[in-house]
Amino acid sequence: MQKKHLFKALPHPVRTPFGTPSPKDLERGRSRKFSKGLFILGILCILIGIGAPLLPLRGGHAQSDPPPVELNEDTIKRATVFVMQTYQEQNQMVISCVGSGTLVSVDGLILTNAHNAVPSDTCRSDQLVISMTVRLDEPPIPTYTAEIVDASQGLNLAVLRINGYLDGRAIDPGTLQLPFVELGDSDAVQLDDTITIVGYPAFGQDPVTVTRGTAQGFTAEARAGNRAWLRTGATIPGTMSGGGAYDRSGKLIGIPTIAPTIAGGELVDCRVIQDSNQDGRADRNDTCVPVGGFISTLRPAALARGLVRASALGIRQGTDLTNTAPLRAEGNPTISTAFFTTSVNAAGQPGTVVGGGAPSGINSLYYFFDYDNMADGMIYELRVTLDGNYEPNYSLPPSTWSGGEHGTWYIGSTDIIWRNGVYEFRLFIDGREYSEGGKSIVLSGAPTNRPLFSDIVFGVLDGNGGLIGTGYVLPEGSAVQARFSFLNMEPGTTWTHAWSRDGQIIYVSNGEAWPAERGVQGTYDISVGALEGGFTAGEYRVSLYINNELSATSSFVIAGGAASDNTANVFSDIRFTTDASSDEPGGTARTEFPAGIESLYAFFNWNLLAPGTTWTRRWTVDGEVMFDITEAWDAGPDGQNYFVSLGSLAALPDATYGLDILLGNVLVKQATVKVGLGQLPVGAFASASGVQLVGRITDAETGQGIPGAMFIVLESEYSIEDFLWEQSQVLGSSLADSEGRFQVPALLPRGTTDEPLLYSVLVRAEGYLPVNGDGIIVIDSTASPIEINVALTKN
Amino acid sequence: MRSTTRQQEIYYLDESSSELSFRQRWNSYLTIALAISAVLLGLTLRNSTLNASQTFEDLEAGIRAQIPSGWIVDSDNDTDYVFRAQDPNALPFKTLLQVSVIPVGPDAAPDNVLTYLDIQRPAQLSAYTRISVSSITLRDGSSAVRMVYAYTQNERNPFLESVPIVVQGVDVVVLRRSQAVIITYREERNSFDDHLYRMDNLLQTLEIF
Repeated sequence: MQKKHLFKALPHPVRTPFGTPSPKDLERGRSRKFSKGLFILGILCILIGIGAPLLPLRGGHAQSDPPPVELNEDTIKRATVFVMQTYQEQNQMVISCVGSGTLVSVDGLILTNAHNAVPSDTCRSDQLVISMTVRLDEPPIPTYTAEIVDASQGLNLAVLRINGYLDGRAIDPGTLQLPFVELGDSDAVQLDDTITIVGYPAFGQDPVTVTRGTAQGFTAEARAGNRAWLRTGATIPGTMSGGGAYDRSGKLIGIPTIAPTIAGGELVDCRVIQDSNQDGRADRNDTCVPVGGFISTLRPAALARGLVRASALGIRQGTDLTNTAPLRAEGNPTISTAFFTTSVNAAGQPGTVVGGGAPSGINSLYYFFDYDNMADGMIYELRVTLDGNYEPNYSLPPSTWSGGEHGTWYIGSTDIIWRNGVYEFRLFIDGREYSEGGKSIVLSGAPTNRPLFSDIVFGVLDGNGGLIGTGYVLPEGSAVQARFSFLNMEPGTTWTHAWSRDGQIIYVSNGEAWPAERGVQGTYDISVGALEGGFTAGEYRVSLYINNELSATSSFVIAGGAASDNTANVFSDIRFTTDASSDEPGGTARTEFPAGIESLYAFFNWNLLAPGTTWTRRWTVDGEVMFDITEAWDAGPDGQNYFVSLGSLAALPDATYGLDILLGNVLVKQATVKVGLGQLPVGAFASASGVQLVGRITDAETGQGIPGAMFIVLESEYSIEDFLWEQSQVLGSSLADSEGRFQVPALLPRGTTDEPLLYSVLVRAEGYLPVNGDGIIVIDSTASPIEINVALTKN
Repeated sequence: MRSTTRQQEIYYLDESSSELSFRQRWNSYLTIALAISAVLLGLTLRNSTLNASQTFEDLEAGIRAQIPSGWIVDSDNDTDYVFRAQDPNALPFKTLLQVSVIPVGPDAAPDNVLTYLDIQRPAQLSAYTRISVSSITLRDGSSAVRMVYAYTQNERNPFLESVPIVVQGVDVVVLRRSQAVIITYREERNSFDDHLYRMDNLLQTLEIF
């Protein structure tokens, strides 16, 4: 009875007189069905349990449309490290210089500025300390030590490798599981593209900071080309130098770079942060940490790619440039012959010289100057003002010099419109202004019809008056022709040509009146008459003047004997060996070597090359440039068995190695050699191109993390069913921390859309039901990291 | 009203209870016995599952032993141990059993091996400390030395926040011709004694040939 009564208490469905459900009834019915569905769904969720969180992954990345890859700010922040140069003094660690850096591989390769890592007069250092951002809203924590793997003083870039903990314990790089970023295509950056800059804004007391700006232009520099620098309008503190600049997909496209400013031998901005001399006070007697000014320039990632790739492969070039202190020439540098041009050719030679003025609307302008007595590592700066106001977009902030002792250099800005006005260019070296380098130019008005010369090329005349062997590298001989273009040359215009060798004038023509029969536009050849001794090996220049004003100038190199096609035959007989003894090739020279060799030597002979001539050696691996070193020729004019080398601490990876030799930006000799299979192994850069797996393991009941719970990822060829609990089947595993968070140390190799790679995972913790899951799909567009959260149920 | 009804109903049930019949009594006994048997069977199954073992054999190294099932076994040739087995379920430290073989000189004594381990381990294990050394006799009658030590295991991933774990370990060193066989057991300090039977089981089943 009571039960019945109780049942009566339950609401009855309301029915219409005709026995059909009323709208209210229908609504209630639907509601009940919904509740029932929800209940069943809940039961299903319980049944499939904690594997449910894995389900979205199965479907998510298995779709044919890859998920859009977007900038992952958290990963980038964690991949940004704080670099400290330190030294030991009176049993304490003293910080001498600080900067930012970016992890570019999971095993601890860091890309940063060379001045942040390489010891110098300014930055005394015997140990590099790396601080990591563990919590995004907190300052970095000193965690590791690092060593320099490779560095380019000129590019002001260095690659470091984490090699130990602060307690002195060494690290096996294979055990590191660090967040990292991938290098992007800096050549694809367009004006006004959004750029995200990440770094540390202070001396390590502030969290990593993100700044946004746009690409505002590109700065050209000798030897690095038109995209030597990327300009941005973002406000970037000096300690973010060495950090990272990212495109919208989160790829590293630049490195904010500024060298500490020096004025008169003293650092302009230098902060005392610790009592380095332990006198109880932190004052001017203590070591101060230099701070660069605000950064507006980024080194494009394209210029860092070779360094990073070579470091990842463990390849080093023979000469250790990382710890080479720049050799300072005695006396002050001298600057001369500053001029402007609006174009530069592939050989780095100016097109036509622009005098004191140029028309409105030009979008490129290059500032050239000759230099002597310079030394790599000096800090130089170009300050440009427009109508008296500083113009950062056209200026070059303090940068590291890499042009060697003497030569010709240029800085320019391309792809941006130069506004009308009076531009003043002022050159500073180590903080001192060089008035000889000062130059001004006025941009205004329409193009004029002033006479001009341009585009000088060099060669040798054939029997028919044609110019053969044209270029900028010519063999020794008695006759060199210079061909140039002329425009608006009215008859009677006075012009002159001057020839110099290694900076010394060897011939100057008398002022001549331009004859009417040559016309006002065309090309014309000139040569030096009977030059005593002919053109012997050396660096030459031809300058053309109109009415005593420089109108065009270009340099060329005389080296080697004439080949059958009248080109210069300077270098010959490149031979590759694996050993060198007493400057002689060791072993047999071959074009193919078995896998596993530790060193590769390239020997070659040379002929008629003047000491001091600037030459470049470029090592390539499978066609990609790894090392590009320009320096003055340091051997005699002729000889045999000059050698350069590559080495590795373990073994050089299988690949095709190439050596290119250039004179004056012109390729004059190249050779290749195969090691092992002759190509890099698939996945040679896997340490920097996989997908990271992170997440959290929690108690399903309490939501608390389960410290020590184990997350296991199997190799892609094994499913849960195949797993025999053998370590060889495990790709990686991680233990949950006190919050239950885990991070699998091994990166998951990517498959492709057509052939995706599938991974299986297991989660284990004592007292909890085990969880297994198959089918985590990783393809080339899968965003990293993948985050998996697992709730375990108590058993 | 409802509570009154319930009381009445209970009263009714109490009132209706009477002496059990023979059949009912034995049904009750059987039910209880069945339940106890099920519990015992469950416990037995659980224990047999937990203590299930598998045979590990490495003919090249001359090692055969029983190791727990469901543990992750690493027997890669590139490593410096014959095998390493770890319990993936254990919290917070993954209980470890390991057998390694290192070459020794003909005049080496077990204590020399311990000295070697003492030199190597501080570079590998944080705060490594030797606790005690004693001599023991193995199942086959051979003599061995037993060293107990401790260290702290720190999470080396800077992005994971883990409290260091105090780990206690024991090594048993047996000399075999020009080799030393090192049998290792490591466990979190507080669970060390509870799971020491794992080491005993390994030593009982270990065959060095």
